Amino acid sequence: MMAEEREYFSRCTPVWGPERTQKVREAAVAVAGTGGLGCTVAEILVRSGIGRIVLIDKGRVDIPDLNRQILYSMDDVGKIKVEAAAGKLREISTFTEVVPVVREIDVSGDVAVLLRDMKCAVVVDCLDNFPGRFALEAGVPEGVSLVHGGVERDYGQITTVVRGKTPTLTELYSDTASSAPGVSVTPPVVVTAGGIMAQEVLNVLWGTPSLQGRLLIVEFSDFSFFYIPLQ
Amino acid sequence: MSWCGRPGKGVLPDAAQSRFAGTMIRVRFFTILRLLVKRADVILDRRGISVRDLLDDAQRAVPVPFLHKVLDDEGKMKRGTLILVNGRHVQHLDGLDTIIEDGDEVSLFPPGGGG
Repeated sequence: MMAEEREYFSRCTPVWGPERTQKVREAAVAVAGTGGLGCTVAEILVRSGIGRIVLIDKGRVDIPDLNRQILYSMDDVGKIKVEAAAGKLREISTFTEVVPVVREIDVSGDVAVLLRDMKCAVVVDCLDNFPGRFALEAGVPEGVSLVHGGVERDYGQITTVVRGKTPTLTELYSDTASSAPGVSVTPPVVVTAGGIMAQEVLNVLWGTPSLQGRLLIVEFSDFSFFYIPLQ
Repeated sequence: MSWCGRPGKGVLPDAAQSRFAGTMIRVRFFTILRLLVKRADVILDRRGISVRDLLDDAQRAVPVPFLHKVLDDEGKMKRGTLILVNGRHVQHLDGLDTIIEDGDEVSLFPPGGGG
């Protein structure tokens, strides 16, 4: 590590130690969806020194996004999200390779090829709809962890899925999960859930996932955090 | 801030809930259902009861009806709320006919769909 790089990460390395810091520096992570959760996850991972981050989204920045999508500002309205986000992340740090991909995640299977080619160690589900989540999950390469998050109003849920080891999102949510476009959601729960997801990505990279096989529910209506073990 | 493992506000006093934890059936409410019924959970002295009948009993134990959020007019599960029995979706068990036994936990959970 060069002197400037050592200095940039000098507040994390004493906590994580050199070995875990190096694992973060060498890892590639894909963030699917660069809305509220995706912006938070991406910014934290870049500030943590992730080696490469792949941002996947097809949308453009809109005014209602700005209350919680922390990488965007008024000047970005109308811009392609992943390009605006990539620009902001490159301003934050030059120690991460940022790869923006303008793409919808659907059942075409394109995402599977992309995730395999990018050699992503972790895939992060920051999408805003369940059909997209199920398509993403289907494209995650064998053995790769999928860190899932979802938010609505002032609550959210996070879990880590590994095919063959945990229930899949398709099994967990089945066809009972509804998805209305433009869900109501508050900034604190988005940033909190995104922060927890980012930490869980690091946990997975270090081989110590905390949410594999259990669902964490973050609820700000009564300030409670609750685990449901999953089968 | 409260974390898992805390006593909930069920039909029994907290001390009684702790004493009976694991020997009765707990129904947990999350997110908008918790706001609606104004309870985190109820503990019911039942065994060998179907999810459908358990939900009926749970509704009688809370101050505000909630079943209209979970079931449609025909008594089928509505989209938007998961019913988990010990962390497993009832659709992968016997649906609303799944039999609940001592110590089981049923969680009613409308997942957040946004990102």
